[in-house]
Amino acid sequence: MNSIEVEHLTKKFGDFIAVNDISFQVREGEIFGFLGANGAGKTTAIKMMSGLLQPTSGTAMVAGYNVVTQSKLIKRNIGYMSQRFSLYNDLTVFENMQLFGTIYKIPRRELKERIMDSLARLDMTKQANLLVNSIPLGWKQKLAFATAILHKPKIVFLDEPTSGVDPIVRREFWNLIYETASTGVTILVTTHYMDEAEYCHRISIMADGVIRLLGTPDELKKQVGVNTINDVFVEYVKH
Amino acid sequence: MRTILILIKKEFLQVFRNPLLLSILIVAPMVQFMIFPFCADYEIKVLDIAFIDHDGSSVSKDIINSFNASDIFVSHGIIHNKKEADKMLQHDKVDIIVEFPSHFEQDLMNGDATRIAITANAINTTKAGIGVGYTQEIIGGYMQQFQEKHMFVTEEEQIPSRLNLSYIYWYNEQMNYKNLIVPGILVILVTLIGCYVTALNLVREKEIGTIEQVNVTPIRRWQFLIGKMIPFWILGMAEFILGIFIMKIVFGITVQGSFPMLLGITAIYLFVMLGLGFFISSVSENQLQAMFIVLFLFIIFVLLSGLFTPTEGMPQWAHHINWLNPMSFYMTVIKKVVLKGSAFISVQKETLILSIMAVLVNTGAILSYQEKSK
Amino acid sequence: MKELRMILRKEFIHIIRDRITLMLVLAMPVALVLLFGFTISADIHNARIAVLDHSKDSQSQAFVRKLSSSNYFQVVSYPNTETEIDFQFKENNIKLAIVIPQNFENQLENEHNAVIQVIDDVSDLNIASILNNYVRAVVQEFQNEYNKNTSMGEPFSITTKMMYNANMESVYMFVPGIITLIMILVTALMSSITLAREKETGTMRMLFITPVKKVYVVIGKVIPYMIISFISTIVIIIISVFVFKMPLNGSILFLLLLCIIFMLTAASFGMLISTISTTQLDAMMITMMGLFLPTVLLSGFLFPLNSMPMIFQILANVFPAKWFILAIKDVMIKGSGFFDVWEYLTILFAMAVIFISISLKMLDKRN
Repeated sequence: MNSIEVEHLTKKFGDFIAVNDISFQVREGEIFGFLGANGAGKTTAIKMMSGLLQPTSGTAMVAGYNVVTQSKLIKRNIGYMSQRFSLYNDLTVFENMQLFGTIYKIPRRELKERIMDSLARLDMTKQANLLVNSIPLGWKQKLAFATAILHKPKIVFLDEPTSGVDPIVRREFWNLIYETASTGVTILVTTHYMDEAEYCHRISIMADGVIRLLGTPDELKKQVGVNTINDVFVEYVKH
Repeated sequence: MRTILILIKKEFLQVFRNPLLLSILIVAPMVQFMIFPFCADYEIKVLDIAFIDHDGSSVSKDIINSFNASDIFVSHGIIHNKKEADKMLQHDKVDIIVEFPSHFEQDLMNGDATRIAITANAINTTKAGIGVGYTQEIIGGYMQQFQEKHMFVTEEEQIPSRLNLSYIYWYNEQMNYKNLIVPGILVILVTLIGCYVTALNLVREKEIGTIEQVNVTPIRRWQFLIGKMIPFWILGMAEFILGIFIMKIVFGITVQGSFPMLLGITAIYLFVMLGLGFFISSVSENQLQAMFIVLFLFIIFVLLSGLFTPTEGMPQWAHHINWLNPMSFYMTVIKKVVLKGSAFISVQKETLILSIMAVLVNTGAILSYQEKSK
Repeated sequence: MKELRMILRKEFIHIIRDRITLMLVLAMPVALVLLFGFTISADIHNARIAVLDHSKDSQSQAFVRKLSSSNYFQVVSYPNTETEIDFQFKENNIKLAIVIPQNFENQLENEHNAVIQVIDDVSDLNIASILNNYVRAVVQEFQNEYNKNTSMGEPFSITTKMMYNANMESVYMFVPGIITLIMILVTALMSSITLAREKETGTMRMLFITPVKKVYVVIGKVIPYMIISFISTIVIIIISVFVFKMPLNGSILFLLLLCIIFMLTAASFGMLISTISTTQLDAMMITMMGLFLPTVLLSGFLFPLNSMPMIFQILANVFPAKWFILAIKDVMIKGSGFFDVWEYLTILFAMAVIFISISLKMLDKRN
């Protein structure tokens, strides 16, 4: 079953076409990678799928709801982690999770349990009462992810979740993604680290608002005739 | 409800964790109350005066002495020539110069025409106007007495009649300028908290990106706005009450009218200002823009509200613009209720207008915020 | 030097990109000057007053006619009791009330002395004191005319000369004030806030990682806003001279030099603020409290400085605005030259040097 179905999705800002007629499907529990240079249209596409932006034309079904007409219902069923760290720096780890958990209407008692659980999983129990401002960037990213999945969404959108963090944290972060996907959650992740693309079940490469290539990492490598996704990207950029 | 409560909690946590903002919220009213009432005073208490005396007679000396006796004039003595006098004016050493012509006393005694010349530095028109007024009054008063004594009038009706003025001061018996300015500070305080802090608050979330995380949740716009508004509304009311206390303890000004009514109208006014703050916040792209717009409006509001400058001299169109100025209505309410003890019937028009403004501005804020986030 | 040029270029790109802010920054001063120019006036015309006439004889009526024929007053109500006056005041219907005693004519004629009572609404002392002045003028005139009829008249007269501002224009006073406010707002506030913005959004860290000297980063922030505020100042001067007929008696070049020195002082203050603030809100609040408010209150352009308590008169000397206003007023209106105002210039310059060296020290400390 598909949890995301995108059809002819287009977004124009004035004369500039940020996303130009893209179509693709993502299956339930799949880790779907969105690759592309900066400004390729990845973030705009994600914002449309998560209901932050209205598409100019085309449509998308996310978790069974229409992004144009049912954006409220979509928001209830997705998690989102923005490119920029966007939790409150002047709140503590716990307060941030409590804030967003409450907005998603998680019952009070259950919320506390869930927060403690996920902090335990992140090995951050001790940091629960620290101001977010004071914890290292890698932990902040993990915290943002944990907050994004606190309300058990069906789909999680991750916009460049690992940019700027060190390789060890990136590794840990991908373990979290796998763990989450294994519970049936669909994950759509954008990145410009080509090695991370190898971890995805399927990837699409975007440029100038258009999806140029789409398939499993192996398929793409075979198609272009190279050994790594990095080479796929370089080869493709050449053309 | 739980959503709004957690948002309120979040906002309070953020305010109380920002030591600078917090200290400003507490220190600002103190500072304003300590400085404003003493500085923001138009009353001319000191006028520097000097004399050119071409006569040197007992009459001219008497007049000069009567200036020395007055509280407001600080005499800089007799200057010997006009050139020096001009120099004193140019260097702001004196405000007013009084020049007695030669043969002044003699002409007076003979009943010949003679003339005293007053020169005032008129760059500050208020000061010049009042200064010249007082000078004329002192000289005029002296001349009157002089004439009565020395004119050798025989017939009854030849005695010039004097028309004197006595003043009664209402609503502020001690003629205390602070009584006007202190309630004005209350208005400024409430406005600053209401508009400034909120205008910067929302746009800051935009600028640092936290609003995105909120926008992606199923939260409703009005919930988010109310969650932001209530904390600042509470802070504003607290500031107002703090202000009323300072007003009473430090300046001995008590609210003459009904205090609950005053609180009620303040609550409405705060909603106007909060709404305006959020409206500005949602139409601006960054804090710099928001700040400039607020500052601009703030200066216009204060200017037209008549706190610092009399509105009586303004042209008609400025009075029309004032219909859009919530601060001027609120200022009227404060003056009426705090100083004159007016009842609700005297401020019902203002209350109604402020209520309409509150509804319009807040609708605008919610709509524009929705518009933007699409 | 090359680094500084690079930073300056970056800053100008920022400013030009954010077109709305640029427009606000450039349009606001113009709007403010026009608004102030057309609305601020210390004169009150046709103030609404009430007259309670206990005599209703020919002299009291003559006096009332004298009041209404002046430009100052408009008699809108003739109450019969003081309670009615109280009501009118509370309704804000009148600004002043005049009570004429019984037997007014008789008193004037036979006792040669009559007293008219002025009831002031001193909840607005400002207006009350201006209006009292007007009443005095009307009374003086009435008395002179009255005495002309009955006695020999007054052999002496008083002439008045209003130096530097013969037409009593309020603009003379506020234009220097507005120029000061705008320069402080644009130079100090903008530069300190944009610096704080880079700290808040984290781009400052990126800049400080590069080998560019911190000083250049700060100077690069300040110079563009000095240029913008210089443009605004020129526009304000043009408006005030051509629209409001403000005189420009001194040398234009000297005036501009004066403005540049003041801008330097304001900019150095902005630098100082930016070194101690971390968020835009901080920078803004500190500028408002530490610079804007003192400029409005303690610079002497709205409120007479020598009527304030001594401590504030002393405090006023610490803020650059007072000195600049003194200097610019003299240069524009009195036509003063360098030798008349050199003390003020020296003080402003010294302040700039002090502020800059403190902020450089603070910057070094952060290294």
